[in-house]
Order: sequence, then C-alpha cells, then structure tokens
Amino acid sequence: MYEKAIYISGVLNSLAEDLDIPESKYLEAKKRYEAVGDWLGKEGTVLSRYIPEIYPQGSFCLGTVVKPIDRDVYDIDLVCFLSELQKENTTQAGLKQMVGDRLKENDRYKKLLDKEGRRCWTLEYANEFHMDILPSIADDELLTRDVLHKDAILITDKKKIENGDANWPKSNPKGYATWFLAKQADIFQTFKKELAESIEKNVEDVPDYKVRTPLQRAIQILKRHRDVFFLNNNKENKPISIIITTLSANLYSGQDNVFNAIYDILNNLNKEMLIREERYYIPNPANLDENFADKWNENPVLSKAFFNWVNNAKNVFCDNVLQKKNEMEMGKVLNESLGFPIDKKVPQEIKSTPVYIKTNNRQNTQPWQDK
Amino acid sequence: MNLVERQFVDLRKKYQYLYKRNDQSSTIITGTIFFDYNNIKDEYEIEINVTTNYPKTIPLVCETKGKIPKDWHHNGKYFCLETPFRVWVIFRKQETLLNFVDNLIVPYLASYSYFKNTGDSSKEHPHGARGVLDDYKKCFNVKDDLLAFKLLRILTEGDYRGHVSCPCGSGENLRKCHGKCIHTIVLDDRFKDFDFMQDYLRIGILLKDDNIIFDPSEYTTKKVLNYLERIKKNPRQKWGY
Repeated sequence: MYEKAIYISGVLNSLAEDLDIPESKYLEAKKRYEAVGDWLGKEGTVLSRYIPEIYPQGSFCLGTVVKPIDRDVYDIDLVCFLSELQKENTTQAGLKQMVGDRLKENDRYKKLLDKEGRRCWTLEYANEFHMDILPSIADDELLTRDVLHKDAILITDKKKIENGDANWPKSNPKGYATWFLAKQADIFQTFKKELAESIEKNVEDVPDYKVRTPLQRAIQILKRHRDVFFLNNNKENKPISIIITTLSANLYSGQDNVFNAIYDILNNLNKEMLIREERYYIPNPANLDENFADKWNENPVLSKAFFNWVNNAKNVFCDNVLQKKNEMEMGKVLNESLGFPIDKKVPQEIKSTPVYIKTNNRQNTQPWQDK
Repeated sequence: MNLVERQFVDLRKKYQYLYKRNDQSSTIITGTIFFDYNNIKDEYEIEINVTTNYPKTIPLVCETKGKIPKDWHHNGKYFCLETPFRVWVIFRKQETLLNFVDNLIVPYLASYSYFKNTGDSSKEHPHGARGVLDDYKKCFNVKDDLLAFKLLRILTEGDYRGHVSCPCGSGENLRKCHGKCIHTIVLDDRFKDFDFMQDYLRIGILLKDDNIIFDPSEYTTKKVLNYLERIKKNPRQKWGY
C-alpha cells in the first residue's frame, strides 16, 4: 500500500503541476498587476491621495490555481485597497467609480475593461488572464485587530448600490490567506527546504511561489475533479472553490503526500460537521459572520450537488484507485477522473521516507498459538 | 460517521498508510505499518477484518505479503496476537482500533522481526494450553499449575465466594489469600462475556495429559457438561480469541 500511495501521489503531483499556473505566467501576471497598481497610484492623480495598494487574493495568492477546464486563461483575483480613504468620506458607488475612472484614463486598460461587474472591475487579457480588481477600503468597525482580522476590508456591491442599501459588504482576503498559510506552515518549511536542497540553493533564495505543499496540491486536484464532474451536468450548481479550499485546509493535518492528504480530507468530511443549528455553516475563518454555505440554505440543490460530488471523489480517491492492481490501471483511473488523456501518467519522483512510528512496550505481549 | 469510521480517523492520524474498504459484512482496513517498537524497526503489509458487530467481536488480522510464515503463531491465515485472555484484557481496556494496532498488532509484528533477527523464541508463549496456562499464572501471580487451574475454575464457574478456604491449601479464606488475584477480574464487568470455559477445558486436558490431574471428573461440573453439549451441537463454532 505504501508503494501504491507513493505512486498515486507522484501521478497526482504531476497532474496538479499541469493544472497550476506555470512560473513564466505567474511572473507575467505579477508584472501586469503591479503595473496596474503603479497606474492607480501614480502621483498627482485623485486616487493617489488614498495610497492605493494592489494585492492578490484567492487561489493565485494561496497557490491553489487551477487552469479553467474550458478556457485557456487564468483567473487572477486582485484587491485594490485604498488605505487612506474612510467610509465616511465616500460611498460604495463613489469608490467603485473612482477606481473605474482611473483605469479608463489609460487607453490600454480602457480597451481591456469588461463591462462593470457586481463587485469588481475586470481586465481581460485575451488568451492570458482574466483579472478581477476589487475596490476596497479598511473596515473601521473591527472588534479585534489580531493577525487574522486586522486587514479586514469593506467592498462594494452593485446590487446594493442599485437598491439604495448603504451597508458595505465585508471581506477579508488577507486574513483568509494568513489562516490558510498557517494551516500548512510546518510542511511548507519542510518542502521549501527540500526544494532548496534539490536545486542546491539557500532556503532564503527560493521564492515561496515555487513551493507546493500536499495541501495545495490536494486542493488543486479536488477543484479539478469538481470541474470535470460538473463539466457537462449541473454546472450552475458546482461547489465554489472557497468551500473546497476552506474544508480541505480545515481537515488537513500535515500529511506529507498529496494522496494521503486527499484521502483524509474526503474520508473525514461528513455532513454533520457542516451543520450548525440545522443550517449549513462553513464560516470564513477570518470573518466568522460570513458563511460560505449561505446559499446552500436557500437552495438545497447546492448542498445536494456538493455531497454528490464528494461521494464521487471518495469513490475515486478513497476506493477505486486503491483497488487497482498495477500502475497502469491506477494511472488510468486518475487521468480519466481528472479529465486527462488516459495514458498521460508520468508520475513525479516523490521523495518520501516513511516514518517508523514509535510505540513503547507497555503491555509486554507475547504471540501465542492454539496447538 | 459510525464507530468504525470515527476510530479509523484516529487510527490514520498515527498510521498514515492504512486505508479502508467495505466488504459485504465487514470493514477491511489494509495497508503498510511502519513501526519502531523497543528499537525494532520494521514494516509489514497487513489486513484487519472489522466485523459489523465490532467492538463486541474483536477484529482478526492477517498479513498480505507473506513475510511471516503461516506456522509462526497463526490460526489459519490469521495472527494469534496473544492468548485469548490477554487479547481480551488489552482490547477491553480501550475498545479502539488504535489501541488494537498499538498494543496488539505492532507488538506481534515486532516479535516476529525479533525472532527473525535473533532466532530467539523465548519471548513467545508456548503453543496451545501451556501458553494459556503460563499467562494465567502470570496474571494470578502463582507458580503452581494446578493452583492456577483451580483459580481459573472459580472464574469459569462464576462462583467466587470470599469466605471459602483458598484452593492453595493454606487454610486461609480465599479473600485473604489467592482470591486477591482473581477478585478484580470477578468485579470487572468487562470480563463478563469472556469465554473462560474454553481455556479451562484446554488447560484441564493438558493437566490430565501431564498427569497433574488424575481424576477429571473432579473438575467436570454441570456447567462444563452443558458447554460440551453445546459445542457438540454446533461443532463449527470456532475457538477465536
């Protein structure tokens, strides 16, 4: 079983790498959004007074990017944070417009701008990136300013604006990322060190984005499996990434290979743990008032779709693949269920040293035999 | 999540290469165990059969890669982890899969590794009734075969009475003499369902063969006869743990 698990992990790692954003694209995206940041914050402009800052959020920031299954573009989610603008001095509409106007002052961005989104401005870099820019200001009503909450923000919502609702929606992408990275902090350092050794560099010289932990890989694989599962049916009800990411990180407990991580995440996931007071409750760890499963409570189809998908994933990863007798068959199951050609199975070499689990002799037992 | 599923979650926290699948009537936990037990480091591929009436029925364990020969402490294809009594004692102390693996399976596997490396089998029980008897002697803290058998008879009959005289012949009350060793077992509810009778019978036969007991009828109570009658009617009933 150990060999199987290691082999499966190798295949999964190699598939996840295919789904991930390649380094060149990652650096390109970074360059692009930093340029946007420079433009927004250019001295002498209206916006520059509020010291705008651009930072990534979501999968790009968490290292869990999965290339869309039906398009050849990467989704990059960005926050445009105006640190020096207070709620009292603006409105949701005002903030949204201010950022939009400044983008439109640039001929290039004007051309790239998609029609106004509910919360974001979107720059469409054809065949490359789909960049969502989320205008935001600081949440000044924070009760706690600990590391998880100090970066909470207020964002805009077009629907609220149209309905004349002045309540600002809240979000906290930095806090979420802090929470997520803490969940994998130890294994991250281990993997970073191993990577540094393998490319003969100092740990400090290895950028974080090059490291992928079993948790990050597991999330990529699960998201991809979801994309394949909902590709041609029930697409509108497919579970949102933040739910998969949050549950995975919560259920991850330091497994050192991706297969074991996925196995435990799926195996330990159960309906009861997602229910509180007879409602589905998957809180945002950085803002407990936010329930990622809110929509499930309005629309039971969503929770049903989620558990259908979990059961299918369980069948594949916790059962089916382990029953296969040889590497070819295991590769086939994995490739097929993740939407790859069935013979694509070049597993990555996995450096794994099993831990011999220390147990102390307390019972002083002796084997026996009947006759 | 049912009991086995919950216990399996805990088991996997420690043993990362054990996986489970469902068979018709049982859950099969299978995988690789890496252990470092009293400085013996080794690995085995095992399969644990957890039946639906677990934890009432204690799981059976076997190996899947044939590292351990079948004539080394096996009962058919399954491991003889310990004497039935000792398996019961250890498992009933904490009825979890983790306890079962930690304190029964791993020590068993380590014993084989030790034997394979050293050729020393002194750390194993003698086979059959002798091993069982030795274990009771250790448990009752007595040296004499017949005395251990007589104490076991009290457990088998379930008729512990503190004021009768002790079977060791000291003239003291049982309560003040060897009764101390068995009274905790009498009081412990966990032994209520343990089949002392099969051990009593196999040791009785051994002692008769060894000419320690000359007159078996002395020890053949009504309960023994009933038991034998039941076995006769249901010969396929296996003597498990």
